[in-house]
Amino acid sequence: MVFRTLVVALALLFAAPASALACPVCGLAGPGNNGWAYLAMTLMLSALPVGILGGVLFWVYRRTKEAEEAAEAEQSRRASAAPTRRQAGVEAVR
Amino acid sequence: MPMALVGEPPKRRAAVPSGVLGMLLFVAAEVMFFAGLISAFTITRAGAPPLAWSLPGGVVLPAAETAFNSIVLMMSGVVLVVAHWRLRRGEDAKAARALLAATILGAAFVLLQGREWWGLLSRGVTMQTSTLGAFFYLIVGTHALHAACAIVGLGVAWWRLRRGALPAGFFYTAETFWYFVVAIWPVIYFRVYF
Repeated sequence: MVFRTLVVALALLFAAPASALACPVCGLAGPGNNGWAYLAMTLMLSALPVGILGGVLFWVYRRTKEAEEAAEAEQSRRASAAPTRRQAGVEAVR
Repeated sequence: MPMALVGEPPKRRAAVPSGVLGMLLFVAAEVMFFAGLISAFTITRAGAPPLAWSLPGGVVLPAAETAFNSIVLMMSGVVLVVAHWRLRRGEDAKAARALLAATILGAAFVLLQGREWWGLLSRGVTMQTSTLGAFFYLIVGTHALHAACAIVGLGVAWWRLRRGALPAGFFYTAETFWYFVVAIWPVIYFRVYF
C-alpha cells in the first residue's frame, strides 16, 4: 500500500509541472513572450531593497565617520587651547 | 565665559537629521511601491497581444507634451539644489527666492499633467476603458499625488524661511522627498509613455 502510494505520488510529481505553475502570478502569462519581463522584474525587485538599504546604510556610516572626525578635531583644538588659558591665569596671579 | 575642560567629551552633533533619516526610509518604501507598479505594468504589457495594448479610439499618450512637463520638473529639482547651496552659505533671501521658484515649477508640472489628464478624459480614456489606461492613471496619478504632497512641504519650508524660522532638518526632509519625486519621474515617463 505504501509502495503504491509512493509510485502514484512520484507519477503525479513528474506529471504535474506541465500543468501546475509554481509561480502564483504566472497565470498572467499571455500569448506574448513575456518570460524576459518576469526575469527582469524579479531581478529588479530582488536587487532594489538590497541596493536602497545598502546605499542608505553606507551614507549614514560615512556621515557618522565625518561627524566623529569633526568632533575629534574639535577636541584636539580645545586641548591645545587649554594650556594657553591656564598659563595666562598663572601670569595674572603673579 | 565658561572654559572648556581638557578632558571634557566633545559635543556630538547628529550625523544625519532624524527627519532626513525617516524620510529616507519612507522614500525606500515608496521606491518599492513604484517598483511594484512598474513591474506589474511591464509584465502585463509584455504578455498582452500586440493590438490589445492601446487606448480606445486610436488615442495615444501625449509623450511630447509630457516631455515639456518633465523638463519643468527637472528644472525644479535643479533650482532646489541652488536653494540648498544658498541656504548653506547663509544667503537666506536668495535661498527663499530659489525655493519659491522650485515650488512654482513643481506646481506647474502638476497643473500641466492635470491639463493632459483632462484632455485624455474628454476623449473617453478612463481607467475602465483599457488596461493601458488603468495603468496610466494609476502610476501617473500616484506620482502626481506624491508631487502634490511634496509641493506642500516645499511651500511650508518657503513660508518658514521667509519668517526666519526654518529648521535645517525640515528643509532637508522636504528636499529629500522632492528629489525622490523628481528622480522617479523619468523612469515612469520612459516606461509608461513609450
